[in-house]
Amino acid sequence: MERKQVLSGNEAVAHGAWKHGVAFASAYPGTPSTEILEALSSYPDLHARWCVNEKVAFDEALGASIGGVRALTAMKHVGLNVAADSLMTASYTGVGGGLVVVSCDDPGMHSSQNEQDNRNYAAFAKVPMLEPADSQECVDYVGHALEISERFDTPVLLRLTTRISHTRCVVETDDERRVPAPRPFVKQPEKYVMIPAYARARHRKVEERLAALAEFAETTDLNRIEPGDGPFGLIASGAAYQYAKEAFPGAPIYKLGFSWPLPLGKLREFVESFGPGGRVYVIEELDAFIEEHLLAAGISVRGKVLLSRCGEYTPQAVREAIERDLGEAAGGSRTAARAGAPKAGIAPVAGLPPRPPVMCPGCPHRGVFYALSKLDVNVMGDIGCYTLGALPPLRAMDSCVCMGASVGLGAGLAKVSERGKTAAVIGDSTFIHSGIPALVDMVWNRSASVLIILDNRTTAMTGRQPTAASSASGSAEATEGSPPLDLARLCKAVGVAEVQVIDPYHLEEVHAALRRALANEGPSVILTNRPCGLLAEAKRDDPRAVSRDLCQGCFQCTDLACPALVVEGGQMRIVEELCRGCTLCMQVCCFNAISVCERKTRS
Amino acid sequence: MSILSVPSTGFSPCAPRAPINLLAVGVGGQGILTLSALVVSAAMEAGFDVKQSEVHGMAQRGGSVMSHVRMGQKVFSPVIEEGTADMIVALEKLEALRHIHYLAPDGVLIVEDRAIAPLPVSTGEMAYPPDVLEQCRARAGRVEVYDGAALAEALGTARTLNTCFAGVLSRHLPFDEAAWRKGLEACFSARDLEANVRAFQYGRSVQPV
Ligand SMILES: Cc1ncc(C[n+]2csc(CCOP(=O)(O)OP(=O)(O)O)c2C)c(N)n1
Repeated sequence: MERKQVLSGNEAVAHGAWKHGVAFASAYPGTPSTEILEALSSYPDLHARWCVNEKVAFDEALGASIGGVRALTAMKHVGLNVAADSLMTASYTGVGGGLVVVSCDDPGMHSSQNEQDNRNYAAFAKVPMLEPADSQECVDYVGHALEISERFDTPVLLRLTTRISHTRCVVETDDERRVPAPRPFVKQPEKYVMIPAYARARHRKVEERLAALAEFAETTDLNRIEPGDGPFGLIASGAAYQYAKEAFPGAPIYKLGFSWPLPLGKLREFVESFGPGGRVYVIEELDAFIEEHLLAAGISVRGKVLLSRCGEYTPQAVREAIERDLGEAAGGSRTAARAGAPKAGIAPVAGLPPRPPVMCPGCPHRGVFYALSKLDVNVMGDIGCYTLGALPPLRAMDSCVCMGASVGLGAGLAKVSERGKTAAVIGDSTFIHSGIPALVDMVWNRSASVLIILDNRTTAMTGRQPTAASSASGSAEATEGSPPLDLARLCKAVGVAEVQVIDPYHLEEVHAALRRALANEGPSVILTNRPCGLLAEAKRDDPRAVSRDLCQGCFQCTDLACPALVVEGGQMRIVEELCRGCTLCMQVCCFNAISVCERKTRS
Repeated sequence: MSILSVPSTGFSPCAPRAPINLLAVGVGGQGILTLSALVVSAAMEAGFDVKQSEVHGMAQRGGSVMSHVRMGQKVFSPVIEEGTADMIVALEKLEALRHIHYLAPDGVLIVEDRAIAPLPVSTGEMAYPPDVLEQCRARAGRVEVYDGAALAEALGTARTLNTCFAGVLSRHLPFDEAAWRKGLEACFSARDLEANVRAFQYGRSVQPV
């Protein structure tokens, strides 16, 4: 029976995967993709697991697919860079059971270090791509993607963006799961062993497949014209389709659901239907992906001359750009058209105090960055909650490029810097994701860098998923007798001579460990041992309070960037409900003005 | 028997052509997303097409939180354009002022009289504007201010304040009682339902200050 429910795009992908018989799903967390695997974990009859990184997640899904079941792997856009090596050649091997690779892009960089456009991967890897424009399509397109994957023997890219992944909308779906008959593994070295002799033949198949897919693009219902009236037309896919419809609900629009390879024949017809002088606009966020392929095919469209290659679009931006262009075409000058419609309404209020994200009260990362901020060191950073250590007032991180990069950056920088000046900081999940090979290299090449591993026993940034060091398994299935990874032992095993395990709530201990490690000639590791304050296992101590008599208003403690500490009337106050009793402020106070909250001591 | 003994609002339950735009803003941890989820569920039950969009990630760590809710016969864009919000509900007043340019000329601002210091204020680097509500009133035609502390006292907890504000909002939304009831049931576990129904009812009848 059809049932209406509200699902986010990510939840809808999970529902679609379950409904269309996916048996194996794998992922490494990353905004905006994380909830896909989280949601999948609660479905019966399928195996869903967190993996240590996106490449491993991809490989495991490919392995399951080769084993003959339907498989799905999900990642954020930059995650596909990590898995790209596999993707490029999985395009050659093709699949067994259907294989869907979900890439969640982040135009606007709400929570990412770049806004690369992963539609380019579809063209680069020569694999088909589907782009759902709402949650209903997310459910349905997973099914189409699996069928296309099996029919054309190829991985299929399902590309979402933040506004698709994180928009909740009404979905009608039945609760029936359809599982195709598995296709048990058959040895086919010519298909799966990509040595040059076999790969050459497979490459020819890839080119043939692409031609067949281009034909399919012309006939599939996933691409459609929504007729309308108006002197101009629109071409769009994904979230941009919604912006285009909002801006011009009555205009004819070519909606691409299957957006690689492009249905060039159908698009040419659509564009030519507007006559020789007719205008057709491609509305696409980020790169001129559709536009450039159309222009290369001699199909005349307009797009990036009007709209930015940076950031997210809005209906407003789309409407204004096209109206301006039409105004100019009708003879008005650019500036006149722009000045034409003064925007009614309230202007944004300038000069308000910003509300940047901050480390939580009691965050175990804080003490390490406070200590680093007081030292003359260059800190190669990484990605996670701890990247907030780069912001004022701590300002104790000097680089953040991509996951795992800190370790290699530290090794390279240390080699060309004065002794004792270089440290690298990385989270536990990030270290396991892609820091371990770099640590082996630090040892192998005798880098005089200090690596600080902030082990808060979780992947905090993306909502506290388990790591290989925090839990015995990445899936809900219990695994007996396999303890979590021991990070200290791992560091020693790869040859780090000195591994100091420290309590990051103890500033003197942190300082001493840093001084000692920085004086070392070889590689050195410092490992912190407090769990993320948001985990159930985190201990909470009594809240502290500032004595009005003793506080001198030196504001030294504000350097900690703790949300529980507020300046009030020339003195400090601790917000009792926020304080977790980590005691860092007590340790930095020169006047002993901070102690356990009196009300608590009395009770 | 109905779990909501509330007066009928007199609105017609059929969805209007132009979507209703509601922007919910506040600070991470205040329950903005639960509040919008409740409105979304009620809207769906009332037969509306609905889209709700929010951004996760960095914003959760004490940063500003903004959730767009759009409800109508057919909704395309998941985000509200500036100057077109029919309602803004703000659980923190600086956030109300920060997002006030989203309000339509005849829109209503529903704001909790509550200040949460952002980091540049708590470190003493910047001042929390002393006249936030006056600044809001100077810009918006219709402003309803609610005393958060008084509401929390009346409810006996601050935990259900967000649901209480959904009750306040319900007076401005054309959903019938049954839709709200189903929305509440969809959003809360059996254990939390009663407290949230109570908070909702209270919000539905409480007067602004
Ligand atoms: C290749 C890639 N995958 C995923 C992400 C998303 N992401 C950012 S930081 C992070 C991990 C954070 O965990 P950890 O290193 O343990 O630090 P914490 O947040 O717990 O302090 C993830 C998964 C990313 N930026 N890049």
